[in-house]
Amino acid sequence: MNDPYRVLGVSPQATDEEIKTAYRNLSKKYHPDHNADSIMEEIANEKMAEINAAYDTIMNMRRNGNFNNANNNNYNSYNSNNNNNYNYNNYNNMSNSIYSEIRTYIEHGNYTAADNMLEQNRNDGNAEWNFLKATICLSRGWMNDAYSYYEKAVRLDPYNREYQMAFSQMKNKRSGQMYGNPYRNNNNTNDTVNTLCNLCQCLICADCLCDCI
Amino acid sequence: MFGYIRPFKPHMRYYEYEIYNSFYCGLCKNLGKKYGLLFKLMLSYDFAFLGILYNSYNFKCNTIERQRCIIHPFKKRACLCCTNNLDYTSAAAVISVYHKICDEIQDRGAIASLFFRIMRRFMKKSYIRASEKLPSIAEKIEHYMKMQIKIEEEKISSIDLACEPTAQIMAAIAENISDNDNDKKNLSQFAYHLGRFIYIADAYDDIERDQKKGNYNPLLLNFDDISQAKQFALQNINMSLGEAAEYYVKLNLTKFRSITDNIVYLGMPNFRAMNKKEIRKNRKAKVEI
Repeated sequence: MNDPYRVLGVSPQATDEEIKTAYRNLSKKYHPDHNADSIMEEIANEKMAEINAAYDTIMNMRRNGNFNNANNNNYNSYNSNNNNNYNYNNYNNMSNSIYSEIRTYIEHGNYTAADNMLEQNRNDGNAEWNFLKATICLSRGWMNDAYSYYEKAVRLDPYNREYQMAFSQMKNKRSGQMYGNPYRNNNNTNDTVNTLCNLCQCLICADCLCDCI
Repeated sequence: MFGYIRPFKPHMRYYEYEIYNSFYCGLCKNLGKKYGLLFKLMLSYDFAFLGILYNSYNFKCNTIERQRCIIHPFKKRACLCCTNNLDYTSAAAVISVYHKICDEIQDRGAIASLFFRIMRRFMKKSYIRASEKLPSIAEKIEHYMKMQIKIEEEKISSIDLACEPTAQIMAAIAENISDNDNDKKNLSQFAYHLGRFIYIADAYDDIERDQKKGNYNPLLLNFDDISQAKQFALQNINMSLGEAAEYYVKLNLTKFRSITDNIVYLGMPNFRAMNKKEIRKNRKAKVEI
């Protein structure tokens, strides 16, 4: 297999963020939706698979801790800390990187891959897990499941703005709100009255000003 | 399929109602001409809506004529005449009606299904003709009908899974309306939620009958109490319609906007008021002004 760093066009010393942006740019470029022609499509698909594989390997390697990156301050500080703390932080870091990976999958519309990864970490069951699961359910149109997962996410982490927003949107829909409903505002007549009043006011003001001159 | 995607008549302008009717009439005539009288009887409002949706994208002609037909022999009705614009919708209607009949045969016993068996016998030829026209859709519908049968056999209680076949069928039909990739995505998502709405609304209306007969109904499997089950169904319908509305806005329809707006924002949320039982009740009721 090719060097995964070369595939993504980054140096092995690059930070996680740099790798992620590189991955994002490349996958945007080779996304099958953008290359609908028959000839380009095959090449794009191949390239896309390669990019995905490279990104996966790098992320796996980094998650397992077998990269020695002097630039990464986190790892240095972990090494100097005592062992217990290290393990805990490492665990946290690891699950976070899984979730951020799942998020990138969701962003690119690769829902099956994201769902598979979520199912592998099913026993996590924390707020983030529920939130991501709900997002995937929503994209598939499974509204009932999505609602219950959002609800759980908000219950587990009531102060997270992102979860709150998504859940309240869901609740609004559940109570019968429809986006872009032209029949909702029946007091449009008030608006016209208001604009007429404004018009009159402006005319009067203009008239006064004319007198001044 | 079930006829839940209807306009809300009280809020329709007269000319909108005429146009809507002309679509229904044109579709019916198209079905009669190409696929035989039997399909005329099976036409539902859902396909009239799909016809309008199709014509919002690919509209070519604009002649509405007044014509007679077999079902209304005494009064001339507004009818959309250039029928080739409704070919796609009528073929899709034939395919799904045929599969619906197959489904009915599955559900009933040997004697009760006799009527449907005879019907299927007469429909077979037309079905083959229609499925030659839209092979990918015919294949998809067949696949999802099998899934539906499986779900009914296994008595799955998850409402999301139970809706999946109907929703996917609607998505498959609507998806090919436009050639644009972006529109395709929005159309299929929009129609997915319409299908979900149709399935749940149907389950909602049939809940009492299903409880008596012990038929499969995902709402009954989740709740013992009917009023609770109904509330749950309504909440789910609202969620689906809310989601559908989001994709509907993205479609940016212009041609028949006022009619589609009426159907999406008034007709579907008020589906209970247009239940046949309710209409009969309302006809007798005195209206307070």
